Amino acid sequence: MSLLRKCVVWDLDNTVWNGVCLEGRVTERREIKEVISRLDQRGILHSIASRNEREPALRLLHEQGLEDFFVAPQINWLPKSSNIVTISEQLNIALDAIAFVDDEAFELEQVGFMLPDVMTISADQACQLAENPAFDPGYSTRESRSRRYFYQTENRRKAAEKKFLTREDFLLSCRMKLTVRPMQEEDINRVSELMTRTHQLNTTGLILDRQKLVDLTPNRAKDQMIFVAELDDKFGWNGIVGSAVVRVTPEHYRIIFFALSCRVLGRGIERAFLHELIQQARESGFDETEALFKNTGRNRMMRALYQMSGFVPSGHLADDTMIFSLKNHYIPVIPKWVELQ
Amino acid sequence: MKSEVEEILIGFLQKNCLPQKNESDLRPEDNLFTSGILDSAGLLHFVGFIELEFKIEIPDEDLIPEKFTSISSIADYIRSRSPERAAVI
Repeated sequence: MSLLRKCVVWDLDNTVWNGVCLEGRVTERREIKEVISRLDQRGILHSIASRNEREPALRLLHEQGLEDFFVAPQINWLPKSSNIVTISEQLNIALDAIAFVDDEAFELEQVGFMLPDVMTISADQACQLAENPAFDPGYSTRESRSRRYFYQTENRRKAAEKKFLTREDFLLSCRMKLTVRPMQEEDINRVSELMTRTHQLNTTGLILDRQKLVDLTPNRAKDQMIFVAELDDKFGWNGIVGSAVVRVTPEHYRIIFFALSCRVLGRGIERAFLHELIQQARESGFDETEALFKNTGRNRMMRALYQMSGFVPSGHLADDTMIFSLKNHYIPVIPKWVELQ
Repeated sequence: MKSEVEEILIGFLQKNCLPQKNESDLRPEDNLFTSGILDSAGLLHFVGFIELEFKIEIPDEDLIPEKFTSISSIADYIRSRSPERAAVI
């Protein structure tokens, strides 16, 4: 099975352009520019691992109108495998969601050997990337088309953070506003995207198909509801960053799916969103909120979130899914820098 | 008065969760979550460090507020799990 790739790391010389930057004589490769732009539209990020001098290479990218397409570019003399690891860490994208394009067989071999999860592609095959299913999520959302913008605003956020003495002061200065509301028809693609793209910040790995999601829009649903959490801060729009599926029966209010975009990690958003759901349960007259957790091997963080928010294990479903519950008189501390709307 | 276990924990947080800052007033009893120093991801990163540093394995069920809210509660937990190691340092 070929895994969907979220980021393409490009070599520069004789790959993104014809010729060698430091030797002068460089010409455009229109077909590559076209591929880069098409993948960008689909929400796939582009980065760079190039053995080059940084300044001249960036200048050339600028001249060719390519500069803005790339995030976290690594232009230096380090091995490309270590540069790819750096990119993976900076963008928070796993190695098995990264592809690497280079014209040198040696570089492709080196990366393939050191990082077997990375998909390696020879530069002469790069024109066909847009036709490869590994680079086609099959749909696009406002959020996926804005992904590059999100990473760029994230850099502004990081730069701004350095001006503050404490992290708390910085977070307060961001003026985050989180809106938790029922999913509408136009949010369906985004919810579907969160179900399939999030792994670490996903409590049960539940995936509902489109029709099922349509059935769960507000005026149709009976006992299940889907909520989305949309975030804004002073740096701009962050899109829908979280989603939850709640099953409400006369007996219980149960969160059967809860997922967040890893883009917003480190800002306490998960706690604020969870708090809002607990509040909903209270307002609906339940004295307890239940939440399911299914260990997928990658989502320990979500179990920690439930437990650190006061949830305690209270049973199991047939398939080893754990049931957690929280008495509703216990309200978890929510971060004071997130304003709930 | 900070214990040596607490010093090690504070050292890690200062290096990894408060980069470019000299937040020397990080106190052992501070709530690490309400101060924005840790969130769900940061906690797991921190837990990984503690497991390596103090040679203990922390089971998922131990990740609860009583044990992991502040430097001092975490230090108590480490001492209860690793009495020999904690006594040496």
